[in-house]
Amino acid sequence: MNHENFTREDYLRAQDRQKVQQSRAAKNWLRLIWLLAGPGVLVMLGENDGPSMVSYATTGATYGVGFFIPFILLTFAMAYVVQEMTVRLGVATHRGHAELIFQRFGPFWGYFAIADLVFGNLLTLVTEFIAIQAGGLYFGIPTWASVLGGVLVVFTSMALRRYATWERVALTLAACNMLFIPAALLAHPNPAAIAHAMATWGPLPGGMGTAFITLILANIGATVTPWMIFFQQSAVVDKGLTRADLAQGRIDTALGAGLAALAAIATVVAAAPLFAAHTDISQFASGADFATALKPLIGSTGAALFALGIIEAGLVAAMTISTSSSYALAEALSAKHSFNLDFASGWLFYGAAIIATLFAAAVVLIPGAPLLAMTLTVNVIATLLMAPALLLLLLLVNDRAIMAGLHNGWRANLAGGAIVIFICLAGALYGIITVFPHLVGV
Amino acid sequence: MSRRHPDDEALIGLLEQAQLASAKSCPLPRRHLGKATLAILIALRVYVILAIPVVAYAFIHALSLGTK
Repeated sequence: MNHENFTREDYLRAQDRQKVQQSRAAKNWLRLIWLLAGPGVLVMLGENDGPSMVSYATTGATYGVGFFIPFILLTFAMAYVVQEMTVRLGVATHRGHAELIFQRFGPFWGYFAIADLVFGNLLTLVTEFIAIQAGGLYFGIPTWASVLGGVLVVFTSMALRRYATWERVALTLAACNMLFIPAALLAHPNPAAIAHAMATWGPLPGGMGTAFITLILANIGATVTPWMIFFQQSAVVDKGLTRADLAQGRIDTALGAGLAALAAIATVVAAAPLFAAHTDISQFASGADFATALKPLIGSTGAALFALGIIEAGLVAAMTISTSSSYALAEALSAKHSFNLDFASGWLFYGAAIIATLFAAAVVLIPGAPLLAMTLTVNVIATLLMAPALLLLLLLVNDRAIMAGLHNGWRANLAGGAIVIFICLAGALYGIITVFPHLVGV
Repeated sequence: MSRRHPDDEALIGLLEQAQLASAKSCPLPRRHLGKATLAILIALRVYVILAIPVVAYAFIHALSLGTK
């Protein structure tokens, strides 16, 4: 190996690998998990973003505790199956998802994947800043101050110029996703009702109408989206995970799925008192409206925790989604892409995240900006374009020439294929319901 | 940054060859696509052609909702 021209990126990644090797040699398994966890937990908690938490709150306020509790667990199990493939791709190839698509399938699919991702991510980023400002408004913080705070958090985390540090900062913030758990406890849920829902997948008040189908699809869309695939694979590569770390990478992903499911279910439970009180939520526009409506039902502490959780959801997603765009754009343009780069070497990588963040923040501050249109379109784009993203993922993970023994077996293909078909059908149905509501009588 | 201290050399040795930044600048070869893969990709192109106007419609429709 020629070490003459190694870079800052190599050096910092090697330092991280040294810690991992020392922990492995000492059989310090807990420290090993601590060192190797990150991409999986971040991607799952990052997907518990502003719009997703509003979807879960809508679910709780519309149906209470029942069918959706086990259903959310099922969607996160599906998310685990999909995201585990990105871990294998990352450790087998040490390449990001976008560059693999470009290099293995050619420029058409490469540019398509990037255009899909960057456009969808830009709009999603706007919705995250909407969540941040909405949560801030609950506490009386003016919009400009919340948005500025969000921008500063994203920029400060990037200024650290170190993947490991950026990841720990993001993980610390993401831990605040668990604020929805005490908020749920303050709603005084009935444990027997939750156990009954888990055992029977019921009750389902109102039956299976179009509102139910829309919420089913919104919950799926809140769990599996294209940016997650690009983010986790690139983060696994940036972190420096190898084949030896595959087990810990899987534990990280499963841990993330478990924590995110817990927070999602807690949000449903916290919002369930609105269902019991027959509150009309049809005019609710943001998470702050839920917090305000919950205040007389679960108390000011519970409502404040709920609003804080909404702010956190927007902040962490802003960090992870802008990063996902940066990785993909830099990979597509064959530019350097790592949080271990200095600004001069990684100007495109950092620049893309900075521009995307400033764009999203600026849009939220424009008086009369079509924020509702963007929120609605984000859901349609994410669900309709999930099909190509998942199929390309399956093709890559079955590419034996690059997977070198870590390719999908028949069981993984069966599970992955079934999930792809389910999500594709659900996505197409969601797109049709959203775009052509009169066809299905919504 | 260029570091040539012996300890640094040993440290870099902990990375796999493919993990080095220099190795990542070499692209992987284009994949030879079988008939099944080609069929899937063609179906995807059709799906994309159908999906793009739906997305455009969704955005324009949502804009009109926002201005009402």
